[in-house]
Amino acid sequence: MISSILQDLRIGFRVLLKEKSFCLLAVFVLALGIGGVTTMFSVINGTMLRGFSYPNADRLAGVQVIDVTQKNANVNGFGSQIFTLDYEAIREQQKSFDLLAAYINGATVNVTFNGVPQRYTGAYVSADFFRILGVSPVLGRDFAPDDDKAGAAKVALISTQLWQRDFGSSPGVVGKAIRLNGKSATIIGVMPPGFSFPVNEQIWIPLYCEYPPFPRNSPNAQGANPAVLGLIKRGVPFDQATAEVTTIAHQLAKAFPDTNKKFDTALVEPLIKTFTPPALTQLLWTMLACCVGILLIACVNVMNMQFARAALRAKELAVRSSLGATRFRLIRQMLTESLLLASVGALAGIGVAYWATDWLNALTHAQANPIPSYITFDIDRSVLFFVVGSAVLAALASGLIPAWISSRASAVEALKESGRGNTGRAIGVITRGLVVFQIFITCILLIASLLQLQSILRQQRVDYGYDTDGLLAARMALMDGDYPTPEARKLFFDRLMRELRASPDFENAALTNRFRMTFSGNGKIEIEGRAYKTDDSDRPLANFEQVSEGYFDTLGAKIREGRDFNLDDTDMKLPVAIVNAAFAKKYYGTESALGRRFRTVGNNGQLFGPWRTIIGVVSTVRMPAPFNQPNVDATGFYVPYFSSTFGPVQPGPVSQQFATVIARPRGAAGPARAHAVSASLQRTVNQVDANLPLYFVGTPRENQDTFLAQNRIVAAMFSIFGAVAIILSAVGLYGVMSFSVNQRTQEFGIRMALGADTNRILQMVLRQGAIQLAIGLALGLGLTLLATFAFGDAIANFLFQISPRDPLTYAAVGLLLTAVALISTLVPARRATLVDPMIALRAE
Amino acid sequence: MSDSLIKLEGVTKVFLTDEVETHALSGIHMDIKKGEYVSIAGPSGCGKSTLLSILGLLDSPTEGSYILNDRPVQGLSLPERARIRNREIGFIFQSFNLIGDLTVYENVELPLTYRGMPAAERKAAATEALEKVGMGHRAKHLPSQLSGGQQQRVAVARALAGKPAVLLADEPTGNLDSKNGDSVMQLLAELHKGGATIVMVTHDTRFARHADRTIHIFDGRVVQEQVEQAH
Repeated sequence: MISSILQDLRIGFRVLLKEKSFCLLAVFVLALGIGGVTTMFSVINGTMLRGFSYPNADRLAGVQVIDVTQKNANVNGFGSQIFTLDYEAIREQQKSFDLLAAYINGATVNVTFNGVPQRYTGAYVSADFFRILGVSPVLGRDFAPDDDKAGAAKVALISTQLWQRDFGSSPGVVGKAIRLNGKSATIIGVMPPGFSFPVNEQIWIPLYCEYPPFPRNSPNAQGANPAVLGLIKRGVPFDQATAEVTTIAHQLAKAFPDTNKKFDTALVEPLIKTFTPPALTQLLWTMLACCVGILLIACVNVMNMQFARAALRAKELAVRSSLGATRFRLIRQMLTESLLLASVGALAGIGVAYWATDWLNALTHAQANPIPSYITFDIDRSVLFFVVGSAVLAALASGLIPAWISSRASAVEALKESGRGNTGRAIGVITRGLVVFQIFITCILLIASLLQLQSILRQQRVDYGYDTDGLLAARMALMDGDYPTPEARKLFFDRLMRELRASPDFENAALTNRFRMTFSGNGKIEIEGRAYKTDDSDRPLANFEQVSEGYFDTLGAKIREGRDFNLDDTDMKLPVAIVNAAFAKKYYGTESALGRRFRTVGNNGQLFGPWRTIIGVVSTVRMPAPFNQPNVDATGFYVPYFSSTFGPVQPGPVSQQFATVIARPRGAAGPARAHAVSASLQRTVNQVDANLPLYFVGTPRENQDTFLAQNRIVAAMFSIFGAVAIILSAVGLYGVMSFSVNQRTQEFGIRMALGADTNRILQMVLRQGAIQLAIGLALGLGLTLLATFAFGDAIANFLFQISPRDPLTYAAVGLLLTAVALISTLVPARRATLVDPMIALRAE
Repeated sequence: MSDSLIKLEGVTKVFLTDEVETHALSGIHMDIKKGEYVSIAGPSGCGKSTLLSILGLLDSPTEGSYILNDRPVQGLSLPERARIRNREIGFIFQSFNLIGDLTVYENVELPLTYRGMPAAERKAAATEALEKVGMGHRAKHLPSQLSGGQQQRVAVARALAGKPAVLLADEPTGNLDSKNGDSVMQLLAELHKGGATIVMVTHDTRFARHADRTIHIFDGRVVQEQVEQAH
C-alpha cells in the first residue's frame, strides 16, 4: 500500500512537473487562497483564540456585572458596571476565585523626572493584579497590599520599554523618585520585556492609592468604575462563577437600587473573550468568511483546470482502467496530484501569510492608536495545523469532483481512436455551474468590499461643520496631587485661557471635555412641557459637550440666536445651555428655542439634571464620533465647562480632571500653521504649570483620523478581498470559456462550413458567458439583498452612513462584473471566430 | 474444469442513443479454448470492437451470458471486473495506449502495481516481459522516444507481464507499417506457441490467417467460422 502511494506521489510529481503552466497557475491561485485564509486565521488566532501567554492564562477570567437590557455590540455586548464598592463586596463574598483584581487601564499618568513632564499610558491596578497573571517584575518587587491603600506612599512599576527608553536601562531605577500625578513617588520595579498588559500600558500604579473607593452617594462614584479580572479556582467552571457573582449582584441591586437596579446579572468568562467585543468578533469572522470565499473561488478555478486536464487525460484513465485500475485507484491517483498541488500551494500560501502578517503586525502596532500589545499575528503551530487542514480541504474541493466524474468515464468510448470519453457534457455543465458559483461568491465579496470602502471614505469625509485642519487641539490631565479640588482646577483653566488668549500665536482658545475632538457624550433628555413615561424608554438621545466661553468662536461655529456662555454662567445662578440648530429645529420647529427649557435624565429615568434654559442656538457642528451609533442623531447641546451635565446642581464648579484645549493659531490656516504653534501651546501651559504635559497634540482632523486607522486597515483588507476575488473570477471565466471554445472547435468549423458568419459564432460564445454571468449576478445580488433583510442590524454595525442595500453599490458591482466577464469572454470568443473550418474539420 | 476459456451464449449488445436502439451485437455464441489463437474479422462497424470490449469486461452485454475461466462474469461489480481485467486479461490496442508520462518499464509495471504485487516481484515480472518482447534495453525510455513498432512491443509486454489467461488484441497492427506489423504478428505467434490464448480483432485477412480460427462478424452476428489449415 505504502509503495503504491509512493508511486502515486512519484508519478504525480512527474505529471505535474510536465504541465508547468497548469501547475504554476494552480499553485498561484491556491497560494492566494490559502495565504489569505491563513493570514486571516492568524489574525483571529492572535486576537481571540490563542489567548494570553502568561503562566495563569488558562484561568484568567473577566468579571462583569451587566444590564441585560442594554445591548451594545460595539463595546462588549452589554452595558456593564462595577463600582469599586461593588468590587469590594464581590471580592469579600465570592468563593469561585483564588484572586480578584480591579483595574483602570489606558489611563493618563503624568510623570516628571529630571524636570521633564511626560504623559504615560498607565493602569491603576489592585495589588493582586500581577499575581493573577502569574507575572513578576524582572527588577524590584511587585505591589504589596499596603501599597494599594488610600494615603499610602506612591509607588509605580514601569515597563521594560520605558525603562530602556527613558531611564537608560539603569539598574538604579528601582528606588528612583519621580513626580507622579503631582505627588512624589518611587519606582519599585520593572516589568518583563514585552509586558504591557492589559493593552499598551507603560506604567502601573496601585488603584486605591490614586482612586480610593468613593462612597456610593458621592457624585464621583460613577467615575470609579474599574474593570475586574480574576484567577478562577481550578475546577470551577465559568458558569458556576457567573451564578455566584450574579447572586451577589442581585443583592447589590436590591440594596442600592438608585445605582445598581438594572445591573443584576454577572458575566464571568475567559478574559480573552471579555477583551474581544462581539462587534470585533463578528467582523473578524466575517473577514475569515470572505477569505474562505476567496479560497473557494481559487478551488473552483483549480477544479475547472482539473476538469480540462481530465478531459485531455480521458484516454490515459481509460487505459489504466483497462489494465485493472479500480475507480478508487483512479480517484486516488488524481487526488494525489491535487494534494501535491495544494501542498505546494499551501507552502507558497504560508509565504504569502508570513508577508501579510508581518505587514499587518507592523501596521496595527505602529499606528497612533495601536491594537493591544498581546495581539500579535504569527504563524504558530495552530495556524500551521489550519494550513494543513486548508490544503487538504482545497485538494478535496478542487480535485474530488473532477476525479469522481472523470473516473466514471466509459473506458470503451475513451479508448476509441478519436475518443475523449463520454463525460464531456457533464464536465461542461459542471464547469459552467462552477463559473456561476464564482460569480455568485465574487458578487458577495465585491458588495462587502465596496460597502466597507464607502464607509471608510464617508468616515474620512465627515463634515464636522468647522475647519478641522486649522485648529490645534491637545489633551491635559489635572491630577489630584497638584489639583486636589475643583476650584484649583478652575483656577488653572481660567489662567490658562487668559494666557492663551493673550498669546500672539493664538487668535482664540477654549476648553471642551470632548475627547480628542472626536467623542462627545450622549444621553437622554426631556423637553419641558412634554409628557414622558416613568422610565426613560421614550426619552430622546442628544449629544452633549461641556465647553468654555469662546468655544464656538474658536471653532468658527456661528451663534445664530442668543449669546455665548460667559464666566458668570454657573448652575448655582441659573442652569443654562446652548443648543445646536438641529436640536432647536427638532424640538421647537420654527419657534425660537431661546428661553425654553430641557433637562437630562440619567440612571434609567431616576437621576434628573436641573431644567436648563436655552440661551443660544449655534450652527450644527458634528458632535458624534464618526462611527455607527444607532439612535444618535445630530441634535446636541452644550453646557458651561464647569457645570454638571447629569444629576443635580453642584454647589461649586464641577471637577474637570481631563480637558481638551483647542486653540486657533493666528495667521495662515492649515495643519502646518497648527503644528508650528504646538510648542507655543506647551510653553504657555507650562507657564501656568511647569509639570503639566500636553498629549494627543494635533489638529482635530489628525485626532479623528487616529480612530479611523484601524477601519482603514479593515477597508484595505476588504478591498484586497474584492480585488483578488474579481481577478480569480476573471481567470476562472476566461479558463472555462477558453476550454469550451477548444472543445467546440470542430463544431465551430462545421457551423462555419455550413455558412455561419463570425458574428454568429461570436454571439454564440458571448451568449454562453452572458447566461453564466446573469445567473451568477442574479444569485449574488439577490441572496445578498435577502441576507441584508435577515441580518440587517448586524451588517449595519460594520457600516457608516451607508445602507447595506445601497442601490448604487449593487449597480456598480453588477456593472463591474459584467465588464470583467465581457473582457474574459471576448478573448476566447474572438478565437472561436478565427477557426479555420478546414483545419477544424480535419482535427478529429 | 473444462478446457473452455471464454464462452459466450446469446450475447446481445444494444446501445440506446436519443431513443434510437442500435443493435451492435445480436445473439453471439462463442467458445474459445485455452491456448487457442482466434481472430475476429469483419468490416468496420460490424461489432468487432464491441465484442472485444465485452470480452475484456470493459463493457457488459445487454443480454446473454459470458463465462470466463469457468466463472460467469456478466453480473460482477465494477471493482470485481477491474480485478479480473487486471489478473486474467491482457489488452493490446491499435494505438498502443502507452501512458506518455511513464517510462517503458513503468508502463509494463503498471498493471502489476494495481494487483498489489510486491516491488521485487513486479520488477522481475516486468523485466521478464520486456525481455520477452525484445525491449529490455529501452526500459528507461519514454514512449515518445520509441518507434510505433517498439511502442506496440511494449504494449504487448504490458499485456503479458501479469501472465493473463487471455490476450485481447484490437487491431494491433492498425497503426503500424507492414514491416512493424509483421514483426508484431510474429511476436503474437511466438506467444501463442508458448501457450498463450489470444483473441485478436482485425479487418486484415492477411493477419487473420495467423490465428487458428477466424470468426467473421457482420451486422453484429457471427456469420462464419473458419479454421485456418496451416500458418
